[in-house]
Amino acid sequence: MDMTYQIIALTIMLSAMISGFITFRMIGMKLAVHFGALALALIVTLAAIATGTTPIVYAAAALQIIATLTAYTQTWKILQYNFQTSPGYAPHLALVTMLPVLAIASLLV
Amino acid sequence: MRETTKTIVLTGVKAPNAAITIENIIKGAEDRNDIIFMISPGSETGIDAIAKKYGYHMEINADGKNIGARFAPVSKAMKEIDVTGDTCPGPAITVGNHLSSMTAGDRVKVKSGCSDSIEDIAMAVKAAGSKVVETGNEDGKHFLIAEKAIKAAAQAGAPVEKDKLLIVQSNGIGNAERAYATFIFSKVALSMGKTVTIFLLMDGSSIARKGTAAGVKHPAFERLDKMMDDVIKAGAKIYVCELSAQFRGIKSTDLVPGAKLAGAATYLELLSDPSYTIANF
Repeated sequence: MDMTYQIIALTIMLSAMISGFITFRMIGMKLAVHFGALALALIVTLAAIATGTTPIVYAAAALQIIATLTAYTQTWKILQYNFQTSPGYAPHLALVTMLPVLAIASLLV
Repeated sequence: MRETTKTIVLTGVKAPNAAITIENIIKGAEDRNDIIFMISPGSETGIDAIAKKYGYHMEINADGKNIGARFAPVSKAMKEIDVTGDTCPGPAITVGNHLSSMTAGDRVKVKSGCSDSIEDIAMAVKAAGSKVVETGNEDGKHFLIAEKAIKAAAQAGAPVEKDKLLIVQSNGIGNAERAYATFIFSKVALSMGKTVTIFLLMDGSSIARKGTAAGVKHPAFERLDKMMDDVIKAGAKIYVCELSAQFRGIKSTDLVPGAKLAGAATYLELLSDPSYTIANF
């Protein structure tokens, strides 16, 4: 299995850990669910790259998609009503939104 | 166009001679324009009755040494404005423009389908130095009657007791620390016996939307919505900027109990009230 997309996803997730931590401090515990999902996706992606085992790659891809979804579910109200502060969330959301595309690409290509 | 105001100096004329002289001047006046009588302190006895008798509205302004008694003719007809459907800052500007073209003592009746709008207009009327003489309901609408008055000059050096706190919150739940600070400071101020008013504007307006604050929880503090509820129950007033709410599609029915929509006039009046200490979050 080609691991190129998973390596790119890992790079993005490492960056997202930093932007996510900064965002986490702004929003508080509401983002804990997303932060947990992102940390888990990072660990499983590392395992997938290290072993190259197909089921682990599938699990990593699934967790990457979940991490993206939770980013939106946990910030949805802020994005909906906070016009001034929501740009603070943009870098993190922009990063994690790349993950589903890379996750699907790693399975299909 | 404004009429010319005459000033007649009667300083040194004692009561009841001052009142008798004023009555004679009013009786013999060729036109019904505003007249200011400058009189000495203590000579004002009985002149309010003269104003009433001859259809004038009287206003007293004291500068320490002398008293200025302004006699303004009361208009027979009362203007009526209906601002139903207009949103902030439209009604306050409409009424403000009407008041500025009126003479002291003139009255205007303002009707609206929204009680919050009438309260905002009342703030604007008071801020302009005029008076709200009546409020109520009529034909399913809320109304107020405002009477034009001349704004008295502020007395220099007058001591002001700063026993009220105005918290302006414009960051909303997007910045949890600032959102918490709003209600933590409110709690402290209330415990100190201060009157607390919170004005939520821009992003802050979403805090008062039902369910929004429930998603904010810091391990060290109780949930934000519970903290807000405590503060409301303890007597804090929460105003939500009408314009900011409209920008975000938030209606008055979406707000938590105890929070109400308010216009720009309310905000500006609160800001210009010297008895308020202002904190921004």
